[in-house]
Amino acid sequence: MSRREMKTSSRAPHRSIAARFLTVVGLLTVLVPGLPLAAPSEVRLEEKLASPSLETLWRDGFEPERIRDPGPVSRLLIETRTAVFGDRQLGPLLGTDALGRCLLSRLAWGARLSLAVGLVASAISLIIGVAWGAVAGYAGGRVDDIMMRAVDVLYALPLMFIVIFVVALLRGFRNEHPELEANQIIVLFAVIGATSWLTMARIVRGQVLSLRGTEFMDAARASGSTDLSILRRHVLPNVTPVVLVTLTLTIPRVMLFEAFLSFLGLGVEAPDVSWGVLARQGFDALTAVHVNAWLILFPGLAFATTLLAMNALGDRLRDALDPRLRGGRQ
Amino acid sequence: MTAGVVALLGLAGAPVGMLLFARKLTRHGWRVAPFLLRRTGWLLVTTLVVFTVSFLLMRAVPGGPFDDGRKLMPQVRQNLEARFGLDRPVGEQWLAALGGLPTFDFGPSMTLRDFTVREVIGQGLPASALLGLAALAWMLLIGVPIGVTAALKHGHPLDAALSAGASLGMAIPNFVLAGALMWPLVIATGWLPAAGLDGPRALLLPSFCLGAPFAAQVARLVRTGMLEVLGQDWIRTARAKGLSETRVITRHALRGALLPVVTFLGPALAGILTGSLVIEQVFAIPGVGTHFVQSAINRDYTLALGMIMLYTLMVYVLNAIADLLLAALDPRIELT
Amino acid sequence: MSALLTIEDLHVRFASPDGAVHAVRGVDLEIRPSETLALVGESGSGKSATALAVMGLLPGSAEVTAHALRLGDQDLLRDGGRRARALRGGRMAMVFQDPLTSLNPHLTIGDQVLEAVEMHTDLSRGAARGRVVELLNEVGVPQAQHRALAWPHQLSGGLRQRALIAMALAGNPSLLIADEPTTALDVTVQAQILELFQRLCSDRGTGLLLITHDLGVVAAAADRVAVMYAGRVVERGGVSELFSDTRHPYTRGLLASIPGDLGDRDRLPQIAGIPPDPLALPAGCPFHPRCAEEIDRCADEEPLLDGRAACWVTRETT
Repeated sequence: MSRREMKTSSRAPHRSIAARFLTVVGLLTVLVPGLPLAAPSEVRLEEKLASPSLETLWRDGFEPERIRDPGPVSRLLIETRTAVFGDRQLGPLLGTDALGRCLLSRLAWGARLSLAVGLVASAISLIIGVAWGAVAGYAGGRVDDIMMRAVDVLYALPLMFIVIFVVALLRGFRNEHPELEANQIIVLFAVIGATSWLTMARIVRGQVLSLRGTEFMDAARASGSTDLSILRRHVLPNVTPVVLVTLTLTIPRVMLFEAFLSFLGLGVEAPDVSWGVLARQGFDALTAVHVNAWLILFPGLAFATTLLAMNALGDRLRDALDPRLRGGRQ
Repeated sequence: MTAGVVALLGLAGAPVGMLLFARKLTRHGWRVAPFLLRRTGWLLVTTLVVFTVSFLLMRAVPGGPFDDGRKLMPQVRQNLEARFGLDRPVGEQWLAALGGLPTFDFGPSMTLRDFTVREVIGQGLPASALLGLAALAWMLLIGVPIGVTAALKHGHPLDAALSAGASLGMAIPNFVLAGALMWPLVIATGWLPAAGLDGPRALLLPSFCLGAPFAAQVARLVRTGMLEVLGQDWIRTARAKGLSETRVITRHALRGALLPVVTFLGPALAGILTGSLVIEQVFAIPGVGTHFVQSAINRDYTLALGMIMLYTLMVYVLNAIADLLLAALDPRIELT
Repeated sequence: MSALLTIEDLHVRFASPDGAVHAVRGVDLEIRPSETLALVGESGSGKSATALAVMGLLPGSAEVTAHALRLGDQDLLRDGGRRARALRGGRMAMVFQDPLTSLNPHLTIGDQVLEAVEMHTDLSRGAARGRVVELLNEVGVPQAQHRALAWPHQLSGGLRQRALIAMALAGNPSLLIADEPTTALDVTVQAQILELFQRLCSDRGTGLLLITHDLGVVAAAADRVAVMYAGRVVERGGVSELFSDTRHPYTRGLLASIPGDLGDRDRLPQIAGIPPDPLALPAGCPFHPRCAEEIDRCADEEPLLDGRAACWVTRETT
């Protein structure tokens, strides 16, 4: 299928259901502060552990101050929201948790953090991985050898465990000195990103190596272009498809790792909320007497649908790029 | 009891497995020796690096094992520190700890009084190993048949259903799966126990939840591999020989389709080890996983060090075994 | 002498996302024992589809119909192709184009030939192994006993092709089909393989259907030739007949484009245009858009194979 055909055909990746779904989720997530939801930390003990119902669709009582530390864009959205809706907010349509907090609102606000972690950490791993792999593949020879040997050594380390170890250490430290407000979400991003760039580096290097075998690289160099401009203008565009496909696999893995860390108490901390935290809280709420299934069901669904969509999109992307990939495979 | 089961499995499975394995490896001849030598060399380097980094990290983070909220009298604290040698220079401490590494003797645990690190590991390792092996079994026993079926029914709704199921298995955290399954299997019917590891039935659910995401990935790998192999020319040759379709699939297609699974074995084992940290907590399995996280949070220097060295060793050895297995099974690979 | 392979009015249709492709549109062929028939054509002419139809190796979505498709007295279309499957590898065997991809990389060549031997003979395991070495010797694999333990990737292209031929011979076939057996090989090895085929056919009395696009191969190895274009046979005859008394413009074009004694010419003559899209065949004779000798009738009616060639121009002039 030619590129033009691909853009208009229904099999094009960006027209798939998965892509549209993710776009909608993305848009809604960005707009969350502007949506008429309850504050995620609003405690209503008299309503604790209420199951989902449509009884109370709307209610009053929203106070903008309850939203913790909004950034400038969020502040603007909140102001718009109060202008339009006043102090009305949607009721607990998806039920409440053990402290009576609205699950719908917490899922929405949690999406922001989970997706942010996914995107930022993946972006970090992408930048490091692509740079490393492209330089190694392009330079070749000893430089390539050394760089990839370093990757091999790092690969042999049980990075996950080291990460968990480090995070636990830092958490233990913070527990005893709660006055230290280290921005640990940043730490989370960095740590997760730092462990996932290895695969990306390998894949990018492989792609660059197969590119080097083609004639247009020699032609470019013969025409006098500098290495940097060749990297920018020829290598990177050809590496993009593989990188995109790998990205659709990295983001789900990162998000699941966040859930994993949150379960162990090492990830996102109260009062911040993420899907991982919600999953943990949902799990804790399972008891023999009252099942409270919704508390784990909805976070589970959130993970399932979003990650499935990303996997499906990745598959579509790979199919669409296949003929080109096959040409580049060693 | 669990120790007994593990011992039995090990005694029975290992020799048989190793014999088959060794036979296949002989095609590489003498090259196996330098391979093992090189791997062992890197193991020592890796061990040393991780050991030193962990050691220094722990001491770099302020506070120590005795700062856990209870305010100790300065005298008591000094005594404790002296007892564990924490008042000596760091270099000396490092050397001393290093001395214990070859025998995995890290001394007594600083937070779990009355236990040495070795004892803690000894008590928890069999349970963790059992859990991990069972998860591995689930991974292969579910993943491979699903992948093969999906590939053979390509184009059918069954393929779509199985593929979707596999994707789902990879899309939710393992404790969410545990929660979802707990209600029908444990809470509602009481058929499976909720916690602990008394008896084989207790192993079913935890190992399943641990292995499911990996089974899903194996299913996808097998399906893709199978579909790719079935399109190859040599399958056409096999059919041209007059072989029945069953024979074509079992004798020719399956081999190629299973190779990606062997490549996946290394990362899968590492992932199972990681996942066990959560599953052990969820099902209150008395393994080493719980200790790993807690010892780091509490900065129990000796126990935490022992834990990270244990996991480093396990991941490394398992990866090396997986590489050897791949070299044994794929005729195109030459041992380097 | 009765015919070994009889094909009468063979049609092969494929379902494709863009419509039905009529790949083979009424082909008649006949091969006698010990005879080598070359089937010549460009890619897309339907020659491979014809061979695969005989062997019953077309995908399930393909529709195969014929007035007759027989190996000896066995009807190959009976029981939905099950008869063909039973004879596959035994009385009729096929050797494919690319020896590297046609061998299973995970099994030794000895094991793969052994599989064929065990499938088509009653020999015990030990005796079968001996037969494998015999076959490998027969096809000219040096140090056959040792080579049987090798993996495909360890052998040269020529040796792999010989191994494939050994596999095909395991069942003592009366008909051997070779689809471009030398295209993926070096020129020197080509000659050796063709010689091997000739020897096997004369020693064993096997009939050979040799599919190729290379007229040099035809000249070297075939007794009779059939030229295919757009799913039909457009010219047929004995090899020397075809070269000295060519009756179809397409064949003439093929002959002219063989690199040989160029004389005064400094460019290789080519047949203008490209082969037709099987989904959109031209009206009348499918070759007429590219034909230098076309007359009005060519665009209206498709000529049938009458005697040696399917061509209005030839008919007009004879």
